[in-house]
Amino acid sequence: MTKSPQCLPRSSDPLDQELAARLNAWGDDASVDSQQSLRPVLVELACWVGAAVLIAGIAIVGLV
Amino acid sequence: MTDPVAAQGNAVAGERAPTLDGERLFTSYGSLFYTLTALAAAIWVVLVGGAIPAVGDTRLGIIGFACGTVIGTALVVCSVALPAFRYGVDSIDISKAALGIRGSSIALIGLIVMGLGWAGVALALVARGFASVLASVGHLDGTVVEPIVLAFGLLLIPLLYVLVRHGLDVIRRINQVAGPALLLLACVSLALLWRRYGAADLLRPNVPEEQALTTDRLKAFAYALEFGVTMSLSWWPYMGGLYRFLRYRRHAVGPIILGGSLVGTTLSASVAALATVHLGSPDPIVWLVALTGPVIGLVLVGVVLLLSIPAICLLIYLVASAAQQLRPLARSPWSTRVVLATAPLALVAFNTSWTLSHVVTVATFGSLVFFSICGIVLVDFWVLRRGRLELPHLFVENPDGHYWYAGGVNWVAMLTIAAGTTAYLFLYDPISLAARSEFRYAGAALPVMAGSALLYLMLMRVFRRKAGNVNPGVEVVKVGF
Repeated sequence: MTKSPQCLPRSSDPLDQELAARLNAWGDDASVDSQQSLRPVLVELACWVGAAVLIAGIAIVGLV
Repeated sequence: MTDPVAAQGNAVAGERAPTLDGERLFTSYGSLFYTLTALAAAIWVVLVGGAIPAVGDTRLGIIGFACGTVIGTALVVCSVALPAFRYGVDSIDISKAALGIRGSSIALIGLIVMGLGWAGVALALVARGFASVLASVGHLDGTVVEPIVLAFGLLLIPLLYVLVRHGLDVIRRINQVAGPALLLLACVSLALLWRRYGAADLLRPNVPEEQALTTDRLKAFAYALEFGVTMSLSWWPYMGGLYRFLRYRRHAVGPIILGGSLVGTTLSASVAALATVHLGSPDPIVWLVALTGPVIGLVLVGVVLLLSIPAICLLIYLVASAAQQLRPLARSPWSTRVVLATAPLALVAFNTSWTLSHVVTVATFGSLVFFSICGIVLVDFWVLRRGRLELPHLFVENPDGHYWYAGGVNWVAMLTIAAGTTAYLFLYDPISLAARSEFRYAGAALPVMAGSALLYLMLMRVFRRKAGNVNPGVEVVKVGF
């Protein structure tokens, strides 16, 4: 859970209060998708990059 | 007058506070896929596609360009999109952990220059395009009349203001139509080229040797790779602003690689490249008319121009949203920031020819810093911080914050950006396209990005000292000279 640090501006300005409220609310629900591990996403990206590098290699060998 | 975005929630109005789960607008694969397709396949893709045959070998150019866009996009997703998805903040806020609270201004300036620059270029292309269509219809003797261009430009500006003022949700909804339509148009154009030239001859023609950038085929491939990589890396400042509204991680890769890179950029640019090399002009009015006839061709050009408007809106939205980082605008209403982001386009409407000949250069140079920033933010987030940021400290604008460094600036990052940008310009001139001999092995952007990442990592390891653990497991790094 992330809580606002003491050094954040503390004013009665609605925007400051909104920010503080959001920072307090952020991360409260560990079940939301954005808080899950990003490892599967990185693996998927690595596969795409691998495919692009492979195709680039084949093109260089075959066409250049 | 009531602000129409006020009812949609704070984040939709372009506020920089973290987006909460319930406010995330991209809840389906298609919503992000079509938004990215529409952004990538807008009118500027014609400029890029028209440049691909210049590498000397069209087939090699298309393959190199496709590989470059996929690699570049993957790097952008790793560097900024995933952190933005996790923490619900935009690219500028994400960059603060690496560049410093004040140091992130360099990314903000780049975003504004590039965003307004490309929005201006697209506006100029659309205004001139509509005027050309009108002239080609026959009423104006085939000549583009400048007052007509000005009239179209000035008509577009209030339309852009109204659309952007209603927030990201309206732009997203429009892109649900614009994305599929642009995709369909690219497929139809490709099918027409295929029918006219046949499968065997479609990829065969090249520009004459004297017009090619090089006769060295490895260097030709490097040029195409460079076009693809730089096109994708120039998305760095915008992707945070979109991914903070993504709800599910299963949509983090497919829509951007397939929609943004392969369909939006590569397919559309390839069609433009093939049409340019076969029909002798990068102007879509020329080749769409040649492929489909004067009536359907002009209607299709009009549709392409119309469908480019949502992409311009998206850029203005992201600029107006990021403008909240500027202290004088931090508390200004959304509608004021939209007015300020849209107003410079009025100058474009009065000077479309000048914009097309000069602003592309400015926007291109504005994008150079992002090659190094992409590498720096990537290693800072994944290697130095092990995939975790202290979200509240991104908003602490005083020396108590953990991302303050020295005077609000991480000078190691600044030094690395300066070194990376200098190295890039040493290897390759993005305006004249002149390149040194080393360019032929991997272009310039990828080596510069990798070199910047390594240099930053090395310097941070030399200069860092532990400043205490605020969050368990998170190493806080402070650097000072």
